[in-house]
Amino acid sequence: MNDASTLWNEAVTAAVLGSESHPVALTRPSGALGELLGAWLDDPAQNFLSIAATLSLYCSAGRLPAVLPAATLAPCEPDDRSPCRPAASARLATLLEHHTDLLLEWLEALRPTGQRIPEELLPEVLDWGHRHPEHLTRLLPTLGKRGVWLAGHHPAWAEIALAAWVENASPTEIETTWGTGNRAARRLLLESLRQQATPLARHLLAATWEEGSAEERTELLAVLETGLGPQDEPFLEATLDDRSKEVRRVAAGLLARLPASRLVQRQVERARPLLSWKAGGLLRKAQVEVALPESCDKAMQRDGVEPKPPPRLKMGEKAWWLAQMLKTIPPVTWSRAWGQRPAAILEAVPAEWRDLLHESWITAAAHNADLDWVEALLARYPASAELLEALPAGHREPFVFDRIQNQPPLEGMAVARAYRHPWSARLTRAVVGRLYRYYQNGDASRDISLRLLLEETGPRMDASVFAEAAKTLEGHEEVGWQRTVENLLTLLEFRHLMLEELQP
Amino acid sequence: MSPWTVDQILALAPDAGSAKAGKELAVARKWVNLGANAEAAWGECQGSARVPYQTQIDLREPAFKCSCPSRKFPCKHGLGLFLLLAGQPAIFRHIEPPAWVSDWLAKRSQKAEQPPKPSAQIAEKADPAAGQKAQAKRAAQRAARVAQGLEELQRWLNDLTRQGLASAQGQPDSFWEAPAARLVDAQAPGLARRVRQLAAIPASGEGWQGRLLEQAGRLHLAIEGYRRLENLPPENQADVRSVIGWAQDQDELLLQAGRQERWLVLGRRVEEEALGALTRASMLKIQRTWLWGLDTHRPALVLHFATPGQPLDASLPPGTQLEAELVYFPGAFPLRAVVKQRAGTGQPAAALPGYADWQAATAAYAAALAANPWVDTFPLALEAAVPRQNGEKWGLCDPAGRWNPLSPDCTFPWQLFALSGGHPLAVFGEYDGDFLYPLSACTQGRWINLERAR
Repeated sequence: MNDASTLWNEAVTAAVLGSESHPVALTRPSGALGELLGAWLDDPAQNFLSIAATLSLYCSAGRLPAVLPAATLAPCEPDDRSPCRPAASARLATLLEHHTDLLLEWLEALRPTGQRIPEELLPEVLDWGHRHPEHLTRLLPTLGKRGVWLAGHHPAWAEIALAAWVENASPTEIETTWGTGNRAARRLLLESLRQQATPLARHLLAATWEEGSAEERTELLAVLETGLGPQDEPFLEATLDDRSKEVRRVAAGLLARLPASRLVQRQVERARPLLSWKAGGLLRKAQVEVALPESCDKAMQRDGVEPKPPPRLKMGEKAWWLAQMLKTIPPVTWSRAWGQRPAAILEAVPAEWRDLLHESWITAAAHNADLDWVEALLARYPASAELLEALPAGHREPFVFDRIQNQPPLEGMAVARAYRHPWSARLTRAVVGRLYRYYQNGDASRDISLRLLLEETGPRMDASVFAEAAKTLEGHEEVGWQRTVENLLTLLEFRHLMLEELQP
Repeated sequence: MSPWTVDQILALAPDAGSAKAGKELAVARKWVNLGANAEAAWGECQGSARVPYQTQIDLREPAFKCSCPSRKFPCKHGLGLFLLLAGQPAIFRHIEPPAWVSDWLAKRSQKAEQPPKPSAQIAEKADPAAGQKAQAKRAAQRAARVAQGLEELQRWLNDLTRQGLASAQGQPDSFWEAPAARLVDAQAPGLARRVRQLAAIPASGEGWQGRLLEQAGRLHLAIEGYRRLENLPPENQADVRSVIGWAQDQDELLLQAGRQERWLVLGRRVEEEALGALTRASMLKIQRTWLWGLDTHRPALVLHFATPGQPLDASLPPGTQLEAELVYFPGAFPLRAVVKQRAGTGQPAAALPGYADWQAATAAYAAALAANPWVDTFPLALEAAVPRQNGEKWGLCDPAGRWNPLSPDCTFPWQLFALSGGHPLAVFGEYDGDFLYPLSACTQGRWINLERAR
């Protein structure tokens, strides 16, 4: 430390203590500084402030930042994609601050344009990604090289960096990382590998299976839902004997979705005798006869049947066992066994069993993507989101469209509400048109459920039709309805603008 | 038509709520009768009243006028209209402005052309004899008051160092407020402000003792300077008067000839200060706009003030390059200036000139201190800095490897880091001798204002 710094430290100490109680002793510096302070140093207490003022200026003016040891910072490679335009960038800032519910739509729209998020907004977007790990796969393509580079520098964003790394890593690299990774890292690696549909995921899981805690095994096993297939059956069957109940539950749930699994075969054998078909005759119609299982033995529990029904269901024990079994059995089992169409079977269920059987078959049909059964069930329960999702993608909208046109407005809207994908322009127009006619004819203005439906489905509507929608829906007197419509139209225009801005 | 970017427009918002409300009004369906020409833009917005609000913008300044009852400035309608103009210019019709717009524009042009009203002092100069006598009397009175006030301040400072700075830590607000109030009475408001600012130092964390002693030293220098005022060269006299708080007559200053030059608006910062006693209820907004003379390579600082509810001047957006004539306040290190006149709205800048490294930058700072020891914030730009962490702290590294920390008040170091990508970029900020508070950055021809209106 040089003269001036030493002297300054002495001065600060003296100032803190106070000259009243402690004599001020300051070392006279050499050279020009010593000359400048000159006579003052002969009576430092008297001239203290003058000394301090001069010295502080001297130190301030002479300050030079120190050299740091060379950085291990690897700069980012230049991005090959361009950032989105300033208007879109400003919109993104607004979304991050006030409308995070629309952020996902914006990111999805950004991806196909080949643009990336501008640098200065990356920290906020990465923070959002950290809070919403379920959207990671949709976030990654929008980050660009800069985003991935940035993520690697902050502990909170480590998962995002890892997810990006996995996409390009070799199997050996992944194995090494797996070996040293914590639970969160392993979950991420597994997710990524499962999406790439490689058996490596299962091998890694099996290799370190025994060392994990019950929580870890449960969490990681659940990841096998992604890309679930018959090759996973042997591993899952083995985990039905795991020492943790949660793990066994997850395993049974996954096996139930593999129609060729041994678990499903066992359920079929158990349940097959319980339902029988009584053919119809002249005087009575066909009926499905239901017998309840006698017990819930160890084998059944191993296959995932819970002995105690949840209190909220208000179901008897035996009925609960039957319901659980039916959920795991492909419904085609029944139509094939009895030689009947699904619609006929549904009709033939006696009233007292209808809820139990139909609900169980809804789950079974959805999990098995059995189109015949799904369609038959949809005819009766059109507003089931589960069933709609089980339809092939191209069939969903036509179904919803048909319902909107041909059903009363509330029923039609309920079906539209269950359709959880972005709507086409055609569907949006149909819904808007139907709403307008409903308002004209009835009490739409007092219909709170209709308003809630509009709020919920607004973000899915095709935003490009907002101008037509405005013309159709505007100009009504009732204030509550006006506000709902106003909110909807503003939302549509906002979304329309935000999508327009993204076009390169 | 409008070179304004969304960022620049949002920076005009008086607070975050107005910015948000403005953004929500930036949709076409909220407006009717939209029109614009080279000078202005206008439209009508349906609010909760029966009659729509008439909003208009004079694009030359920009200046706003709206018939809504909001006291905020610019109101959300003005912001929304401006954002709409920037984003969807096509929906504004190019027609003759309606009467309510052309009337307002005409009145504004009239005001601009009028010469600045002569103040009482200049009127006095017109009548030399009487004017001089009155002026001399006032000056003598003021000099006496200030001298007395400074004597008291000196005694207070001496007490402080005698009893020791350690005792300052537990003191109540009145300990600092009382001498500050006396200085206001003694017509030394600049020193009063500095004394008030001392109050926050003991609680400011590590190194507070040195900072307190440093600021006490600066106050002492001002007192000593005032004692020797007559013997100082005129520029230093001006600095002493300025630190004491003698206001310079701006009208008189504007009568002088400035220099016409190309100026770059480097950055802008708004801070709030308590008016009078340490109450949060009345805060004065101080806006520092930093400019750089592109031909003579010298900085300038334009100050604007606003009381709560008043608008801050928005005519100098950072990242703009413009032709203007500035007149500097007198001083040994010319920094503060006023804009005498300017040509148009300027163009967006694509480069940020700065010092090559920290050595050059701190040398410039030292030169400023040598001329005017009371320089508080110094404009500092580095042309090639890399943001880097040293432990937990963020700072800027120059090509020679020297690293200086960013201000702990800076809330956006990661944005700066993201912008750099590990590569050098140009950064401008305010330097106080220890920390740099970054305000603007420029990389690959792109200018970014780091402190956005939120």
